[in-house]
Amino acid sequence: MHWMDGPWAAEVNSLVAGIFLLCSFGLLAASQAIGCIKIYRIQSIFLVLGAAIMAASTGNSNLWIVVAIGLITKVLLIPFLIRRIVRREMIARRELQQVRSVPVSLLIGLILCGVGYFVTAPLLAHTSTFIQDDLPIGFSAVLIAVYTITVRREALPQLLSLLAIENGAFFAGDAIAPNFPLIGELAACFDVAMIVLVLGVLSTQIHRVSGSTQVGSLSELKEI
Amino acid sequence: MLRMIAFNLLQVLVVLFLSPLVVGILNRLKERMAGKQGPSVWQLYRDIFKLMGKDRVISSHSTWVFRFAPYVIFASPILVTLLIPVLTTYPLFFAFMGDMLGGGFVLALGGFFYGMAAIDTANPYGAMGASRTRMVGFLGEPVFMTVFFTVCFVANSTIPYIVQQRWLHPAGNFFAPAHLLICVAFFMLILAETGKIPVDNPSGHFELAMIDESKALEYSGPSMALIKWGGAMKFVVLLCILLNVLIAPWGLASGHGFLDVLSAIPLIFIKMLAAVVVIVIVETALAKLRLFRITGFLGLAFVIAVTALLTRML
Amino acid sequence: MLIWMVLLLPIIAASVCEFLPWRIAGYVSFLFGCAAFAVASCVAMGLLHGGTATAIDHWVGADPLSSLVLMLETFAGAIALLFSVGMLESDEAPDSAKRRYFIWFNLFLFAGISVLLMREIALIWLALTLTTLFSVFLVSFDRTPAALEAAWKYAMLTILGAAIALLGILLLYWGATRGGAVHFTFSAVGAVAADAPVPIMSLGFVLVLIGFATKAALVPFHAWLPDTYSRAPFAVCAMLSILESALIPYVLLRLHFSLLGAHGVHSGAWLMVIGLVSAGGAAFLMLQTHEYKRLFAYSTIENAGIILTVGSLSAAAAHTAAIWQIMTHALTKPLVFYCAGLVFVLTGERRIANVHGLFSRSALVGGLMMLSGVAVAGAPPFALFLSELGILKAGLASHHIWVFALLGGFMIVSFCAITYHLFGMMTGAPDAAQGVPRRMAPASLAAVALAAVPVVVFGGFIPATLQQLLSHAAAVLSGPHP
Repeated sequence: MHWMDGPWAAEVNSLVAGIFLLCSFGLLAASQAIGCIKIYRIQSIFLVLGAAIMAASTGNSNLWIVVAIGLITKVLLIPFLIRRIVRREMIARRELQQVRSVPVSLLIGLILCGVGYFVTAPLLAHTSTFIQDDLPIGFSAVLIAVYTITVRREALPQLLSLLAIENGAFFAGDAIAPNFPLIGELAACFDVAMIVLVLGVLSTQIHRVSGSTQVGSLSELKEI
Repeated sequence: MLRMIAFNLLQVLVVLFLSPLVVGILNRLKERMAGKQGPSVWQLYRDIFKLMGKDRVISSHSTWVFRFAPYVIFASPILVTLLIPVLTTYPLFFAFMGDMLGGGFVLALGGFFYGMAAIDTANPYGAMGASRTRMVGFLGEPVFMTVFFTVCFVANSTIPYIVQQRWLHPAGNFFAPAHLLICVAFFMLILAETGKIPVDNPSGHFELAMIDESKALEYSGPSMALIKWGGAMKFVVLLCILLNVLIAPWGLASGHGFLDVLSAIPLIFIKMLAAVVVIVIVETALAKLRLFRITGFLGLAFVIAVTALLTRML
Repeated sequence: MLIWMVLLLPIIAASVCEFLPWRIAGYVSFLFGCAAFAVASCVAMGLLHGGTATAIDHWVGADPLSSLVLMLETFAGAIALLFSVGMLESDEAPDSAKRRYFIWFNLFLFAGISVLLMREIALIWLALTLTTLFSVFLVSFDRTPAALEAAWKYAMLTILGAAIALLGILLLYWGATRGGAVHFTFSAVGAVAADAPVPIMSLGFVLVLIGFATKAALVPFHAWLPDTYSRAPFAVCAMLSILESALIPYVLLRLHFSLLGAHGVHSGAWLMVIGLVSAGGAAFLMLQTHEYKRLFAYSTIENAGIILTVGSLSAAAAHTAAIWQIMTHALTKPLVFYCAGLVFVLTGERRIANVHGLFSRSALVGGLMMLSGVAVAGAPPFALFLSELGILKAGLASHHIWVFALLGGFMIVSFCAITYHLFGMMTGAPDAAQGVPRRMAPASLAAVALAAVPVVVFGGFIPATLQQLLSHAAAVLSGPHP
């Protein structure tokens, strides 16, 4: 794969990284549940794409397996599982509420991005261009997804943000630890699928008992 | 030297006389997409010609701003045309008179007078439109600034002629995330600035929902013609910046002969048609946003622009 | 071989439960739990003189420290299963739900055991995440809106923590491989820590600490704790306590000691700060809480904080004290939750203010509650008193007098909080509206009796073999390369 050598791979990789980060913002701002699922899927595709570019350019066979695992679980299996488990009413077309307004959230997301860059900056000395792109962006994506969980009120977007944290961690991880034990990689994907199953079933139970999935409005339990 | 001045003036003439056609094609295509006949592509020329021969009515309560504004609106895109590459890849006579920021200021001056004139007549719709335009304007400002800064970062220059060369040398630059993301952000900005769906509906006739159109409600005759023409030119100038400066200088003349430059005109026109088709698709596919969702739209553009800046800073 | 048996027993139990009526499933699980405890004891016996037992090199194995915690985990698990049988007798849930309860409980136990037996850090992370996933439906067992809400918060926040920890673990792996490590175990990281880039290891450690602190509900990250403990079944609370005050401190302390060689990471300082904040914060939260389950939940956090603070010091005596504290607390805390469960069966009330006159309602339950409460508060003659005394003794000999002064103060605050709240519950006239006291299920009482044995015995004397195991477990931490 000679065409993947040289500056092209790095440029395309940083483009992938940029779009990956934009997907995090998308999850933060998306106003419909169905949109959140789509954006999560796009983000997963770009996660896999990033790993594929690195695999092609470094010739690391371990990474190709990571690509395959990611493609099967994150791009295909998980969106499928979500649509299967979660009730139709929960992903029906309707606007989702947020604790803060979207522009404010976007600005805070940008600040978190800056934080991500500053925190990871000392780590980047003597590293490859892949790491210099992917580590800060993966870290920022984690921060943004954590913030997204706090502003979302509905069960499904919270679940997807949780998965987005995992995506962010692995976006950084594919770059910094391409030889991470495959069993760890497999384990994490298994774990993600388990999360979807367990939380999906739980949210369905919540929907059945309380008639909505506004988990953010659950406030029966308080330390008075 | 003289030739450079001549090319520069040719540039102005191209923008001056081609812009109504571009807008006409846009309107026609949009109607066609919606399954309607649509006005002729020459309709804007006819409108301008007709309005030029009509009487003008000026409210006795208005001040000089109202009378003066159409000329500023008409002149500001022409001034910007002198600064940006429309036909050639090499800098022309006025290229170093002002940079992209300067161009932005000149365009903003036109917008400022337009808004002032709308308030001046005390027509309630005018003030409403002006304030809404200002809202869109100040929301778009950070996007413009970030795009501008990113471009400066990449090219180490603020002169559009120098910036445009940067995307192709070396070739990998074209695929740089900063480049593509900037283009997307600036495209969204153009939609907002020129009052296109999803921000504003240019063909709407309902005053309460108008943003851009309601400012011209009090104008008539030649003043109206100038405003329409100026609006079309502003649109073409912004398209030129997007296509020639931000995306790539393809199709521009690199030779110094008259023939080279003249043959660039149809190429540029084709490029613009492509952009017009994209805009028409966007306008047909999307619905107009509620006024308070515009912040979300421009916020997204801002995030894209900042992402471009962030990926560049590495 | 033995190690595989410990790992497999809960899985077999879980699959067997699927085909049995719930009560028999419960007793069978209890027997499997006892078997796991017996096998774990055998593993520990084999490690009495130090060394390691390996199932797969660098992947699965045990050493004195993990086998000690393993014994605690399996012991608590077995008794929690027995207690669950008793508690479910009086529950109106359908039989299928009760059967599923035991399946999930066995899987939860399996995940906890895996945390201790995995050597590979990535697998330890996975096991910790699985402890959350397998316990979500245990927490939501009641199926009331409040229980579901509690389960959602619990799952959301702990998985969030695990995901943050994942990024930290990836960073640690990166740092370790740049230092030259081939495997990713605590000892391998310890061997290369000196050569690993400090900024990477620091950020990795901090992220892992934040992630696991969320999982353990250490004080700035304890948002899910009160709700979850308030709604989860009592046996589940007991096991969650073990998870928070034994398993996670175990992982964090091992990580800390494997990073000792990396100068500039300051993992000890981080642990000490978060430990002190947790101990202090939890002690004061105990004063103002309104539910007795939450009271004991905060007490768990307080103990986790004490363990982390003491364990992060560099003196060998402190390590022994920390491990001793892990042990005594893990033995005492389940007992308290079981007694609290009896109180709940008796009164049907969760709030402290609504429970009066326990003594006059039932001398047995009141007495048990009082004694176990005092035991967990750290009063003589129970096991926790000795270990807390050990901590303060280690403190007097160390250079960190002010740390131990603070810890001592927090212990006194928590002692006052527990005795104050318990006094209110014990005394006064019983509420007439609470009806006739229900009969206690024999299984619950048997579980309480079994859980009480070590608390009382270890308050008096420590067997020589256990002493030996303790000292070798401490050596795993203090030794150069475990």
